[in-house]
Amino acid sequence: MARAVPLLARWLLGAAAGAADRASLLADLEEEAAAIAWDRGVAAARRWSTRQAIRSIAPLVAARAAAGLSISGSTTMQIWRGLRSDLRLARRRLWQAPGFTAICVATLALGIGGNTAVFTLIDRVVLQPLPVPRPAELYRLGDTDDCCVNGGLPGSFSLFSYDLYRHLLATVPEFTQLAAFQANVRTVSLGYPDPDAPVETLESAFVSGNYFQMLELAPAAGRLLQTADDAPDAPAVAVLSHHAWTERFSGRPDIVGKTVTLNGIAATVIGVAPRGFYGETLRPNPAEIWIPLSNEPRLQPAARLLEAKGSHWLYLIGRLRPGVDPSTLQPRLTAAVQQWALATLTLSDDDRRQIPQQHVTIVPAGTGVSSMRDAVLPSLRLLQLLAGTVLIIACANLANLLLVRGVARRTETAVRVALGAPRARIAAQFFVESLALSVAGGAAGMLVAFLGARAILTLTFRGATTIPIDASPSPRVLGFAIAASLLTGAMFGMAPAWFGSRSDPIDAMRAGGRTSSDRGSRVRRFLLALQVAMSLVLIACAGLLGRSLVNLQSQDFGFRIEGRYVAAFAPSLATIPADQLPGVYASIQERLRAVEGVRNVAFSLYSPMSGDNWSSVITVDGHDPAERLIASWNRVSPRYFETTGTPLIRGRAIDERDRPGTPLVAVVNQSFARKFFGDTDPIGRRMGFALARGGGNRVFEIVGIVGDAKYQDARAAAYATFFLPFLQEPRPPDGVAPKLGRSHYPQALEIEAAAAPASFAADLRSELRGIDRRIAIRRVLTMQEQVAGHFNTDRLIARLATAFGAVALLLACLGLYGLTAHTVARRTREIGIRMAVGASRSKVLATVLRSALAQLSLGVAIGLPAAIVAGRLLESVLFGVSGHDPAVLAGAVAALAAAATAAALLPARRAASIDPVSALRTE
Amino acid sequence: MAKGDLLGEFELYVMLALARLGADAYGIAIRREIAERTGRDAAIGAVYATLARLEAKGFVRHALSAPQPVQGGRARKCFDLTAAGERALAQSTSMLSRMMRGWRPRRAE
Repeated sequence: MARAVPLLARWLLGAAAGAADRASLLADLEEEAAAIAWDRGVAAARRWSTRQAIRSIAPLVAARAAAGLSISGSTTMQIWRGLRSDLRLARRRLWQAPGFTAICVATLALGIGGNTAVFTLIDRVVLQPLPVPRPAELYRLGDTDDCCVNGGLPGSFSLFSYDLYRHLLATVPEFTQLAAFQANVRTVSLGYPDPDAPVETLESAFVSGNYFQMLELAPAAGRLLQTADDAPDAPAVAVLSHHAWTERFSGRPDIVGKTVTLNGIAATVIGVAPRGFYGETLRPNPAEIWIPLSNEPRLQPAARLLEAKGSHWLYLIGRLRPGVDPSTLQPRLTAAVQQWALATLTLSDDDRRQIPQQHVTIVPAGTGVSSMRDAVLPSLRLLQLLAGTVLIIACANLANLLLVRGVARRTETAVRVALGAPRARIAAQFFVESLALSVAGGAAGMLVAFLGARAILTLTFRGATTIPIDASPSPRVLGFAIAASLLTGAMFGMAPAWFGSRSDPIDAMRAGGRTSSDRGSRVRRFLLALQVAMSLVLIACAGLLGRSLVNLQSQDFGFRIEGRYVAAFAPSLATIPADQLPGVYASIQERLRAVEGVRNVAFSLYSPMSGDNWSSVITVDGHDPAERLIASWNRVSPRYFETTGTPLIRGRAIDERDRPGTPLVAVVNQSFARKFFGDTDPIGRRMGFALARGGGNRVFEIVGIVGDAKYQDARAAAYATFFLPFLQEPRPPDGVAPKLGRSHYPQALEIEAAAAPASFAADLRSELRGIDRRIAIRRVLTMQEQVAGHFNTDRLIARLATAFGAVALLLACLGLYGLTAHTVARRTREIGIRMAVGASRSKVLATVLRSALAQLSLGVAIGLPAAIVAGRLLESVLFGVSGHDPAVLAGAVAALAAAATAAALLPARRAASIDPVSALRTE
Repeated sequence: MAKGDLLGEFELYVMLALARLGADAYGIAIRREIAERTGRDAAIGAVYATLARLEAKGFVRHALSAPQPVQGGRARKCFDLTAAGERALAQSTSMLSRMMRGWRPRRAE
């Protein structure tokens, strides 16, 4: 028969009532319910008592609250009280074992800290919105990063010409503001009207006048740009970044209103952008000065983009009116772009066929433009995976430590069980201890995370002068660390809580805690094997990534690294009039060669592995003029190949003969020769740039072949490249002097020097200044540094993987040591007996070692296949090493085995030194 | 007389039930007495809460009865008016009756 009072009613009433009344209250209810059941049946009694219980809650709780009595005695209160006393006990216990606690907290700090550090980076690089009001309203037109200047029809439009931007402005009134800005930052020379003041360089970006209005930013000083500043006849103005203002102008407020020169053009600094705003794109060395688009033709006269209707170089971001569905704009923008292309561009028949494919995608831009994000996100994911593995290993390790501790405390637990402690309470106590440890570990981990994140940032942005993000933890990061701590505590606390509370009072209390059964020992063995296996995976990954980095850095780039230096020219060079250039270029080489230590001097548009590349459509002898041939090209000075150490294979290099007016020549690299001439000899053949409509004049005669050298992508083969001398330009058919494009202004200076004296850079600078005040160079880098700059991400991953691998190895050794030591301690008597009946010490040593190594082998057996799978997943980021490289795998196993043997040797030797007599006496 | 010594409506009912029940006054019996006389189906929790409040004011006291003479019979928590309780009850009821003197409820027309 069902009870007259349902359990729910009893529970509700019991929880609401105070301890003093609970028993009689329940009894009273039972009594009346029984009477009702007698009269009207059980169902009625149950209904009645449930209603009674529910209606009683409010008055009972209110009475207790009014009486100022604590809710003590209720179930929740009991749990809370229990928890508090458990916490107190846990704290006391952990203080009592400072060594154990320190190891646990350190393990956790490394595990949680590593993860939080990586997450900090993810947070800063990927999740953090722009520091502007209501970033969710920002949308970008286009979703790819086709930096920096493109022509033709891209299919998906992300870059826009100024003309197209003006056209689109009229199309989408749903944007309160639609701003355009340069896709990349450019260096600008900043000077003062005083001719003797030094020229500095700043990273600059051209932006539309409404750029700051679109972002709704408020100035830190002065005012920000307005639409009127962007008018064609408006006086030149500029806005400084807060960072540049404080770093370069020491935050002087009088900078506002000052006139400076930008690439030689006078402009007024009208204000400073707010602190923490580094532009719309996260990048190393972000923009330091923003200049209205209308100034672009004056500031870079050699590469004017503003009026070029078909040159796409601007990104567009707009602020959408609230409530507008961005997807509805897409078709209209797409139609507008197609219509513009048909009306504005000179199109071939082939182009016309492609018009229907031209489109615009709208994407949220609350976090800005994502070029860096997309580039580093895969690496960050990989790092998070590695860090997560370390944390799992740490969990396994801690679980093992706590299990052993639980075994040691078995007698105490047994006494508590015998005295009537519920197992749940004992389990809770173990669990609370684990949680306390993990919270302490998490707190220490925050420190590790902060230091780690700062180190990671420095590695990620190595070589950058301005790092646009900092490592201080955001609320998201704090939340992550807390969640990670609690989850970790729950993970490693479960097994010890379960097994700790399972101890059998009789078993444990007899014979002074010695027992044959060791509950949880199989779990411990499993956890250890898991730990060993995952450590092996991490060590193997670290090995593969390290090997790949070495391969990347020590590969043959096709040029010499030792004794080579590079520097970038400031853009003010491009303001030197064309007729002075031959003299200026000659004296650069002449005067710098006289500097102490310098062997060779050259300059070029791009230096090797500077990361830049210029590709053009060309036409080559032996090929159909209609064929679309693409090659990279560069302009170089005489002695360039000697200076960079690129070998001349055949023919001649570009030298002093190649001046304006002499026959036009080109030197090609081996890839070029192979790609366009196959087996035939390219020397004496001709080539030229293709015209927009196809065809073109083959005006350059190929006079030499040089070795392949890498300029942009260290992982790819060298591009097919041709080299042209500076200042040689085909004469247009009308016979007037050819106009020099921006390719005739070198961007890079290359030096070969025996040993650079300390004053090297200063000497170079003063010589250059002596030639012309407009010639300045930025930082002088060794070629080593320039090359290494390409491997920041690879280096970061390799270093962190190594660090994680080392931690994993350490933890595995600790685990093996702990388990072996525990086994030895438990078997002291047995070993004593064995020795008493004649076992030799070496035999005891071998026995203990063998069992430890068996444990290790089990872990390796699980870990090796896992490592091969992990290596396969890594293959996309590896260079010159396969994912299952036998040498790396063997090395990982060997490292693990060596460390593990060392870890097991200590307790094994202790076992071998057991004195049989005293061992038998421990009763 | 302090304001805190005045009885609330439900307190008055509980005290009156106590006074009528005499030695048999325990939780569910008080509830039953109120329910039968007034038709108000009070919650047992409300009765206990009120008793606790009255006890805190010093108007009632409780004692555990001897176990009931049946199998598994339990000791009841029996309540009783204190002298202060008697005075407070007399005071409250006389105030009420003085207020009610000469008053007739209006007839609904």
